[in-house]
Amino acid sequence: MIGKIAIKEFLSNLLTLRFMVGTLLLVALTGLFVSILISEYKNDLREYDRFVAKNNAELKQVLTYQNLTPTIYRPPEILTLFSKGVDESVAKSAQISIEEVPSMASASLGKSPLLSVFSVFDVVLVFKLVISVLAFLFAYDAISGEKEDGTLRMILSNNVPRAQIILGKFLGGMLTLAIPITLGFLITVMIMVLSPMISLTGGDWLRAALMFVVSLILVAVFLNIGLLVSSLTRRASDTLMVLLFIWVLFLLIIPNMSTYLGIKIKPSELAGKINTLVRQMNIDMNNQIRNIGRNVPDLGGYSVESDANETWGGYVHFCSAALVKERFYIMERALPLAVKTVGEINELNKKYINELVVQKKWGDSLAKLSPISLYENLISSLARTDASSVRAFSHQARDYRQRLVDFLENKKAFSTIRWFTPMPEDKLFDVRNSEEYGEVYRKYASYQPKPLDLSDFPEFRFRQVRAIDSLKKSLPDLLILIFMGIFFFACAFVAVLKYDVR
Amino acid sequence: MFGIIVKKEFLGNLTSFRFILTLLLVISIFAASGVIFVGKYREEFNDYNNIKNKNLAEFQQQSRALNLVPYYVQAIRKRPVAAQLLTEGYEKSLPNNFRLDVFTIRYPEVDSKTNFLFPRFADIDWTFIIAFILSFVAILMTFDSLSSERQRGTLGLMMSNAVPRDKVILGKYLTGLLTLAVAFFAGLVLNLIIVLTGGVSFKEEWLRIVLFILLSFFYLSVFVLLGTLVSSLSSRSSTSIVLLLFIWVILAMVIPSFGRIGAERLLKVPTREMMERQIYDAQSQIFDNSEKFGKNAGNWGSGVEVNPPARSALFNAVVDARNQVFEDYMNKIVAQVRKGGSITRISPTALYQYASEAVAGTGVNRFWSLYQQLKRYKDELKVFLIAKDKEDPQSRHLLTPSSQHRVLFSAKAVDFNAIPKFEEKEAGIGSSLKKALWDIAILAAMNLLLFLGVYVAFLRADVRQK
Repeated sequence: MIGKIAIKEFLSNLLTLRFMVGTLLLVALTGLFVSILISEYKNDLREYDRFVAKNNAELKQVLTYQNLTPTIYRPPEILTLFSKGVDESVAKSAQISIEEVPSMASASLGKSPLLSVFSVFDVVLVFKLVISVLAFLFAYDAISGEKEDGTLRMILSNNVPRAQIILGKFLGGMLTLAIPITLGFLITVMIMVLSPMISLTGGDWLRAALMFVVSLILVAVFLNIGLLVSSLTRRASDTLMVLLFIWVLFLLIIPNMSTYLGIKIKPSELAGKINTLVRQMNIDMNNQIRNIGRNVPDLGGYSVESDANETWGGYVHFCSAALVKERFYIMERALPLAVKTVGEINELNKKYINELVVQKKWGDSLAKLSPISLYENLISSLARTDASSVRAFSHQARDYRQRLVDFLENKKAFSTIRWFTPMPEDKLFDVRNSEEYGEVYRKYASYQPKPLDLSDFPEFRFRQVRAIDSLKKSLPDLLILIFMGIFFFACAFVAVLKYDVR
Repeated sequence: MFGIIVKKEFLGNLTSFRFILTLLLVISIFAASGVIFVGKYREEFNDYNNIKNKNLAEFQQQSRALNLVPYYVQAIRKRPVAAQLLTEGYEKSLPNNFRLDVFTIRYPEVDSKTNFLFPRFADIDWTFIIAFILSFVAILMTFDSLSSERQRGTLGLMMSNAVPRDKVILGKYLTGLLTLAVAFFAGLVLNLIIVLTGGVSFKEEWLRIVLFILLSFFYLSVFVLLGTLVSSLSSRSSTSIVLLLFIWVILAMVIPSFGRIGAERLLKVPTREMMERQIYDAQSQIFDNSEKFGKNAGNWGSGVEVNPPARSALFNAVVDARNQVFEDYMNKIVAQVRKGGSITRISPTALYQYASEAVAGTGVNRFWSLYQQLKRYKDELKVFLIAKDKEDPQSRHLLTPSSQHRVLFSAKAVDFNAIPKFEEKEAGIGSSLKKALWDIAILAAMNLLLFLGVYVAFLRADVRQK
């Protein structure tokens, strides 16, 4: 009997305007969005390749260790077309140097800061809007409509168990709603497969499949909420009103309020101040280093340098032996100072990011009241664009910086003159005045500096969050969503069971 | 007859179930908005005052010598304005901290209490409530204004009287608008009470509030007309609501989201890294050709014969190169946002958001205006310093970027009160309106078109029950 009711619901739904308009809209919008986003992805991929190649080419020309400051890039991710998450608000690149530990809080080297006024453009926007409203549109008159028409009374006067009625309605609704969702995902997959530059790994396919399942669970939740309200109200128009208000609550109000409350409940001490604090710490350190420079004792000889520029900074092209002594004197004292300050700034940034993460946890917990928020977070987590996936890049950037530091220490970079000049050591002369320097300069300064030997310099390879880890992270939210579905179904079940037909 | 129709409809609406729900929703959300704003505004104002006072105190210390003033980096924060209650304009995510000295304005920073880990959400300002919630409510109130009457048969009954069709349509429209107005004003008044008792004061903002309310009615009228139009064309209310819901989703949420794509596609802007690289290259080139400014312009070292005018010219040229690249970049990022906005202008919601930002004087327009004002201030300060420096016969009169060269400038003390200070001036109502003009005009055109559409549709409509 369940099957009969389900098939009847399903078939009668197929011929309605809401099904046709809803499905058409979902498929058309999804197709449009995916096409645009895929072309964006291709551009991003091309740009990424260009930047990485440029960085590698420039690495081959670095002359001094102090200027060894490569930039690393986060590769674009195909699944961001489903959900942009916080991907766009966090830096996609980081410059690696010993002067700064990369942090998500660091200034972005990326796109215009003004672009934040626009809302996100991804596929989850279309899905969350259309399938939720569609689910409500199918559910609102499922029971109250039959009450109004008088047909519910007729069904119940037969020996059809009430449980089977509600189950049949649910199944019928799910079958109907599965069609637009499946078509939407199919068209996405089709466009992705037909694009030459796009290749998805097994993990990517698994994630996409999971997103499909999660979308089905979302419509189930909305369908059941609709069935519940429908079984509690007497007229279909009242059901619709209540459902539409609930929809606005879930879509707009709960997400916004939970963000506000998250920030309010766990205010961040460092927000609004961190830039100034970090800047002040850098200024203080630089002042101290300058003081050291000003108070260098007379180490004998005539200290003079001729500077030049290379890709990532200035360097000393030619100098006297006295200058080298001076430089080492300063470095010996400045280096520990710099290391200390860099450490302190790093601690400050870590504290700041932690405060933000805690705020986000609270905001997300409050947002779990809205199935739409849950859905968005789930899709974002599966697309690897949620906060924790994005942090993976900054952690790996930090690790890479450590490898840079280790490399420099292995080469004893801090205690050779190669730190600040590519001059060969045998050309370091003690000179006593500018004429002598001038002579030496004329004779030797036209040497061709050789780039650093970076054959054993570590390369940066970004390790993406694995599918298993994404799944583990999203499991709690998934369970909550499933629980919501079951909970609302149970309530609708009870409501129908207790319904007085008279 | 007209008055009777309107009164009957209006009172009917006010006592309906959906209106009660609407009133509850609108009032509670306006109240929440008020409470949230009071807390935020107070905090922002405190931060602003702290930064401003600290800046002035440190600035004063620099005025003991004229040649310390050019190198002092001032920290200017965007002043919080009461009009943010109307439209935050995503101020939270826009840069609000500017640092400048007399030579350059640094890259602006976002130093605010937002959390970039949250997906971007609108603050609950009036624009948010009106753009999304009230427009949605407008649909809910009007979707069955004609179709339900047709279904019940009362439309035919009404038309069998000597009621001109245009009066019927006008009546339905006015009723819809008036019903919305009741909920709107109830929420607005509560919000203003909360905000005013919370200590926020409005002065010239009252005029902006009035203009904003007028603009909002223009916007809501579009949705009332849309609802009435679809209602008059549908034989059943269930058809009407389905169509209207999907239309609302497209107009209010989908089309505005194209803004970002439009911005990035229509105008390519260098990334910050590229801009820094451009600056570095331009400056390196100048340094490599430093001799053209004079002998020893770019050489230093203990044996080098110093040539101050050449050195000063070199450094100024380097700074000018940087400023040119930066100015170009700033122009581009603002133009990009404006271009992106242009393709979303088919949506009344997007139009409303741009127009309300212009009327409230917030958002990207304000950011741009602040930057222009800072540039003018920088020049004003420079002129002042050079004039004061001329009075000192012992100065070499060479204003040079690089604090080590301050000896080339006058070291006399200067009266701190005479030094120009930066005061942010807000755009006047006139110029605000001018910026919103196009958007308001398009909204007006939409209203006109829709009204004609409803008129024509109803004039030809079949009133019989189907």
